[in-house]
Amino acid sequence: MFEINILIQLLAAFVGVGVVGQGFKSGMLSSGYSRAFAGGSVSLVSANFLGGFAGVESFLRVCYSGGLGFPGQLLIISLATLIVAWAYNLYTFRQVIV
Amino acid sequence: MSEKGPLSPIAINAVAIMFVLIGLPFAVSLIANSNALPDEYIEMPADSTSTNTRNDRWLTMNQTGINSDNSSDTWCGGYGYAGVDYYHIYENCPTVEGTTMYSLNGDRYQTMESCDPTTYNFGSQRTSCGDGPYTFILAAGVVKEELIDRTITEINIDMLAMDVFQGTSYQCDDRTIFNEITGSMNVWFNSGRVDWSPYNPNITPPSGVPTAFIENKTIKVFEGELSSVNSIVVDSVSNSSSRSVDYMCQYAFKITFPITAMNAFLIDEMAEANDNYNQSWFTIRIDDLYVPDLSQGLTQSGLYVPFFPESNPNPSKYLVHVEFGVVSEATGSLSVQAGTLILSIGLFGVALASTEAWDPFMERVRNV
Repeated sequence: MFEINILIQLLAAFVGVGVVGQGFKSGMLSSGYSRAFAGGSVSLVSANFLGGFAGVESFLRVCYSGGLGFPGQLLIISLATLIVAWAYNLYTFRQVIV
Repeated sequence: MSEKGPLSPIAINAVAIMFVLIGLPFAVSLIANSNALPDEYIEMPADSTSTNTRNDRWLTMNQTGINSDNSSDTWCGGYGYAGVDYYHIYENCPTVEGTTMYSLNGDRYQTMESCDPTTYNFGSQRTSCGDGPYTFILAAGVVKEELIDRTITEINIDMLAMDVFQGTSYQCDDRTIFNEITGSMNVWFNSGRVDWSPYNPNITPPSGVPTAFIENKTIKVFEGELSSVNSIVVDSVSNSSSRSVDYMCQYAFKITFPITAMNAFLIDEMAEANDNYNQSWFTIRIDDLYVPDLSQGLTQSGLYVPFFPESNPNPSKYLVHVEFGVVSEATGSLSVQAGTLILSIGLFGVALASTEAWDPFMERVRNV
């Protein structure tokens, strides 16, 4: 299920952006290079962690396919809502969480 | 004491990110790997007169680890209830037919062939089951009626030597040797229609039969060490052929493995999509089985380990007792669905907390 992979990649990307944004606001990661490196690393590790090691991906696949009924569908909707909210924040306020 | 102020934006960020990176995987793991204790046990097969032959077959063995110079019998076995019309692999295989149901302590025991070179071969001699892995199949179709509206949370398998009926009085004097038996186990749940050609000894079987089953529409139910190799004592024995023994002490090779809530849920889903277990079976593979020299210090222990004919001076058949530990389907799915519901509410809360709508929302909650 390609959609679940996209959800996880987006989630990981926003986590990376969020971590870098907070690091920058705290006075760390002042250079563009360090921010790019930190963001990329965090996103990569997060995506691999959520997708493989933690088994979140297979769980989300079952939810998405309807295997867990309404609660599973609700979980996918909540996850999509979180990603949309973070994307909106990033676009509007230039930070993931306001 | 100073009054606590609201969380700073950085703290909220940290909490949200930690929830996604730590809370989400942890909650998923908790939901998926929880295991409910069985409310009741279902014996296999449901029909006490089952002979485990042809259309009735539910217990079969695949000697995938055998080193044999006769390649065809390596694949000897069958898959009971594998299809609507009871398709079997090599249904004329002589080694899995003509078996009998016995009653031990009131429990149903079905015979299963060991690696006896005199009975488990045709054409060439064999003296060992090989180094493994050892695979056998449990077809769930024989208890399909009992499994409807129930969820399997545990499977128990007891195996003991057939010669419990030989009249020898064993001494159950040393159970500690069971602690030395080690190994690992893989269990899959398979479902779906299977079409195979009838057995023909003149045709070389297709290669990789067990692998094909493992990879085809499969849920991996269990992978881990043999954690429950224990002993049991059979107090009374009787069988359908009118022989009976009032008291017999006998150890059994006992395997128990749990099925997590998530796997149980998936098994339900898959089985229901395939004629309610009529086309479903468990494939059990034992790897790296190590059995110590049972002759040391145990003159008549009565312990014979399946797949190890060396442990049995008179190898013939094994008696196998299988039972499914179950809970009602509603109970089984409820724990998974309730956990998922709580997780989805938490995730939605994080989404809300990530927006400007959070403060007005909390204000409204406080005013209610």
